[in-house]
Amino acid sequence: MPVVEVLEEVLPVAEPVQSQFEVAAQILDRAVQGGCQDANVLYMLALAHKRQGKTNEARSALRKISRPDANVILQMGLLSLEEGNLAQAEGEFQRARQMDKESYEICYNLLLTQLTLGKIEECTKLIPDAVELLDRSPGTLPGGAYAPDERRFLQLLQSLLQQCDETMLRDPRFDPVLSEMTPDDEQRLLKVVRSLGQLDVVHTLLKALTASRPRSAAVREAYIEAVLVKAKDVMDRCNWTEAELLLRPLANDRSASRANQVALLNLLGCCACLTQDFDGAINQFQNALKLSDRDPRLHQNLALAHELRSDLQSADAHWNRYFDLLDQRVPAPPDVPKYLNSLAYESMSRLASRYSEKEKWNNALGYVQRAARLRPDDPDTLERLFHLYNHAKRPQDARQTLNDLRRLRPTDPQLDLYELDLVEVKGLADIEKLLMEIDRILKRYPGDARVEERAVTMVGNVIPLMGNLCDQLTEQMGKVIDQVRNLPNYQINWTAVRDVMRDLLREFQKLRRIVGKCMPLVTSDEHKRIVRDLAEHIDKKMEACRSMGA
Amino acid sequence: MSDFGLRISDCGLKDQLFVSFNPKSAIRNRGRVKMSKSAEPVMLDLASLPREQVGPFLLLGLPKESDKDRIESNWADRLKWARKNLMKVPLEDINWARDILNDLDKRIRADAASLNLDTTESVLQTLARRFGVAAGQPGRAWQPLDSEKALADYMPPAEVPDAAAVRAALTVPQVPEELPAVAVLLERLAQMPLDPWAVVLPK
Repeated sequence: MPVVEVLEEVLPVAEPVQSQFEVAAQILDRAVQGGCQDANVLYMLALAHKRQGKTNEARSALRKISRPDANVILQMGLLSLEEGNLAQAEGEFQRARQMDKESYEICYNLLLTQLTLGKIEECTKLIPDAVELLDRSPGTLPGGAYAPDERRFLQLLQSLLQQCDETMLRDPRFDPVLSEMTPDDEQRLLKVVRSLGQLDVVHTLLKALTASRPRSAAVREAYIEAVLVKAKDVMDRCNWTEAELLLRPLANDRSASRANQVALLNLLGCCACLTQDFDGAINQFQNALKLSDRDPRLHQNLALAHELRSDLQSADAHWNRYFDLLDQRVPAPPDVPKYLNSLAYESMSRLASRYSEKEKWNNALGYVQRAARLRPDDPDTLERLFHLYNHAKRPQDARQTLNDLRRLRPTDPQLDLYELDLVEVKGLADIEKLLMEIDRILKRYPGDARVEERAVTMVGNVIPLMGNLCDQLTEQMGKVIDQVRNLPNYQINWTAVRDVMRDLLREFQKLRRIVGKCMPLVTSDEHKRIVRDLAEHIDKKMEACRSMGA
Repeated sequence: MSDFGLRISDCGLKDQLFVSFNPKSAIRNRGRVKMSKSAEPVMLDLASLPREQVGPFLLLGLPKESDKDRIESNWADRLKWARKNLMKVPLEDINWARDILNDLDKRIRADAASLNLDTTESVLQTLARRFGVAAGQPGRAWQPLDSEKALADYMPPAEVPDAAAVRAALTVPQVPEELPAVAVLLERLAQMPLDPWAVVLPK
């Protein structure tokens, strides 16, 4: 029996059971649909929906209450908070508070909602009312909080809000309430501030708290964290300069945890890089690496900064370290298998391209060799490797790679032409042989666009070589003619002149024959014109040779 | 993105970004940049890198490990911001970034060539979660105080009959000693055909 079936037999399967709130909601809903307009029934229906997380249904039940009291409005405010609609929640809590000024819950919720909205002035005015309500409350509040603790917290919050005034931020005054708070109170305050979820407000509050408690490590750490998150948020909107302005004052702060310091220096480096201050970026990334040498992403950033400064040599060391450290620690997209492997391959290919652009063939070769080790059966990589071996003048390795390539692409006609790349052209005979081979391959694969294109390129490369050879022969001929013109007739060894001219004529004839073979292989008008001019030039020279007795 | 703005490293004005206005340096740099008359720090609009060098991840504010849903969501946000001029990046670049990230090969190439805002340990993402500003997370994390009306013993103002009284009012009919069904059953049995050969006699 399959394991799954055995497990299904052994393990009990949970049957879906209606929750008590679901059942209650169904019964109450039936009552309401039956015509019941009792406020308490509607209220209980709303609570049953609320406890199931059905805020819309809960709100519509509350709205049916014809004369809502403060508690009903409080519930609506709580639903708005749940939906993340802070402005609406504030309005509802304010309405509830107008109806019931004695409820601490309503006052507290209004206070924190306004604080979250960044309404610091309104919040400061509300705190004395909340404290007064606490004074009238018994020791323990409905939520389980202890009234004296709550009172102390509100007093701390009030002092903090007073410090948030702009003038106070510039010139903070000593506040005994804030500077003498206990570590527990400090933790509570930090927890509430962190929980606001509005970065601007959190940043302002923590800035004020840091100014009031400069020696507190916990407050300083929380402030640095808030700045980091805010700077990242600003950078996500592509506002690099503003992010740098935020981070810059903390650049030399060594009080933060190592991880936060690294994140800070890295962000500063990115800001500098994105505003084209590459030297500054390199400096920041290097400082970050001093604290965390085993972070591949930092090495990548530093390598990219060096590259942007066109210093590939310095980037090299960091790219190598990046490849060494690139492992499962690096987060990868969940829906892409073997992402890191592909990333390493593409990074190496990219670097090879950068070095190839600068014609640094050996550096490029190193990266393509590593890429080929990652994908040994990838024909494109092998093809690239073959060309780089050619450029680096390593014909043996190129031949070996071409053999591997033939194994992977046995029917590729281009590979025959690649074989010709391995021929070292030294003289007329080599050129002739090359052109004959090109002609042969073209005839073997008629109509193959790739072969034709490659053949045209190869013939195009041969044309300058023929021009050079023609120039060399012309130069030799010119020297002989000059001597003949400048020497008196009786001093000229005419036999030797005729011999030289005969040899030159033979070379010109050979070159003319090769140019003739080249003509049908040339396709572009420009190349045709060059070859035609060359042929005419050679014809003239041959005539001159003959006139000199060849 | 324009590549023709002021290069901060070329003109040596970097420090002026972060200090108050300095008349001496303003004279020194006269003609290069328009200086503010206020005592506020001088804000320069710095040239950014071209979009290929910034990379699609930074343009869309995405971590490099983002999935497709996140890419779409950030792209949609940025389109809105760009249309409302809340972001300086042109719409064309935002769409370009999305196209790159939706093509796996191009995405990997872009990853290889673009900066990482976060470290390998994802410190910034962890902090964003702690501050309630990570993607897909509700902003507020503080718990409001709730006080619900105590309605456990609430009796709706409807007439509900007393259960005991209702039970007492019910009269159960007496069962007769004679069973009228017996006669009917016997009559039906007598009308059934009888096969003498089918009767099995006891041995």
